[in-house]
Amino acid sequence: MASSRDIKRRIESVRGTRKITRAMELVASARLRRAQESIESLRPYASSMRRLMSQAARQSGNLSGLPLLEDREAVTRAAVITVTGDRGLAGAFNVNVLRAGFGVADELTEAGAEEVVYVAVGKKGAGTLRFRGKSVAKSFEGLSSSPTFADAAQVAEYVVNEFVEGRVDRVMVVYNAFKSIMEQKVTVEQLLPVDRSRVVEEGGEDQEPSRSLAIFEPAPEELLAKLLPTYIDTTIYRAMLESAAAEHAARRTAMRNATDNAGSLIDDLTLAMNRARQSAITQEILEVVAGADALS
Amino acid sequence: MSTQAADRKRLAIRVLTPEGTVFSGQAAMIVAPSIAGEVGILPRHQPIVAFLRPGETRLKMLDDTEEVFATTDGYMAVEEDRVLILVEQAEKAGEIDAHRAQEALRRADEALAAAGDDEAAVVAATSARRRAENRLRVIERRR
Repeated sequence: MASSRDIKRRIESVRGTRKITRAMELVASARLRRAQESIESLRPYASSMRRLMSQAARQSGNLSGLPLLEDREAVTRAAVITVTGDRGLAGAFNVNVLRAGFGVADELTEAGAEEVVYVAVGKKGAGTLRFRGKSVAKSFEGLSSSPTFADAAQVAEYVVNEFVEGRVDRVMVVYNAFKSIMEQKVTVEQLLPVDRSRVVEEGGEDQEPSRSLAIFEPAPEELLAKLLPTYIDTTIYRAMLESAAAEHAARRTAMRNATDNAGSLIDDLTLAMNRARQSAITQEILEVVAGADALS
Repeated sequence: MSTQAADRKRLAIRVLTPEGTVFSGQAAMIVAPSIAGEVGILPRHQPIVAFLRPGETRLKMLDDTEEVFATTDGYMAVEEDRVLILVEQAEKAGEIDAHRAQEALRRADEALAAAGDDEAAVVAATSARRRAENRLRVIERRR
């Protein structure tokens, strides 16, 4: 049986760990709040933009000739964007996204795609994908915990270019959507080609649809050609924000569990230490008594 | 009819960016930098949608004061006295920190130099540089 001094040392170390996990839990809570605010801040912009886009689409009447809407029959090369965190210690957060990403890649391969490449947003995803020997076309790192619109635009720029120049025929995005503090939901969306029905239908629920015909300066077709990339930027930005919020929520939960576990471990160890001390004392008394008996 | 016309002497203006709402309120007039030149919008303007280039967007408030924003590329939509400005970034001229804007310009230049042939990074750095320049130009004009 371990001596009470050994157990005491272990208790100290678990206490140290608990301090760290508790601090990380608090940090994650604070960041989570900020991430949730960012999602809220994006909402008015995103819904206004969807509305403008659908207005332009309806007034232009003709949606052909827009490269981002071009649905190619044969998908030979596809890209999967995986949005993960830059850091671990968040439970199954990163693994879930990657597993879903592999599933999407398999489906694309079954549907006839010859090659599926990954675009990794987040250091953890990039690392695991490379380790598994998957082909990572590009990775974006260091922007997971509080992504900015400019970060998202950079990712969008890359995939839009790949798509327009025909190097990929389809782009999917996989990310953790933030459902609630306790729940993250892995979400798969098709990014490119842009789904026509999403362009035409009204995006904002909170606004009445516009009826009047507007003057477009320049023409609605040109506006649409410019709005679509902005729509991609916004979609990726939203995915990154959701993922950031989900990451902080997942880390908070993981760290809370770790803190709780450390607490019960400390209780168990304290009990063991007291027992060890008690038995040591009993042992000593027995020895003294036995010694006294031997003398008399 | 005349009472209705009297009601319509103001514009409801919203300036939105992906990172938040920068302005939401009423104004008497708005002047925005469209790609075809500056466009002034008064109440009862007909519906219009226009591209914006980086520049300054000026609001003439109801009390005759002026609010100026440094805005980037984006869109303006006017409909029934509601004006929507959708831009990547917008900053109130009075709140721009000249020192920070200088710093941002320097960082963008560095990033551009470091980007090499990484297309996405070049695009990001170029647009960051344009934004910084625009901010500096707007405060320059305010002096």
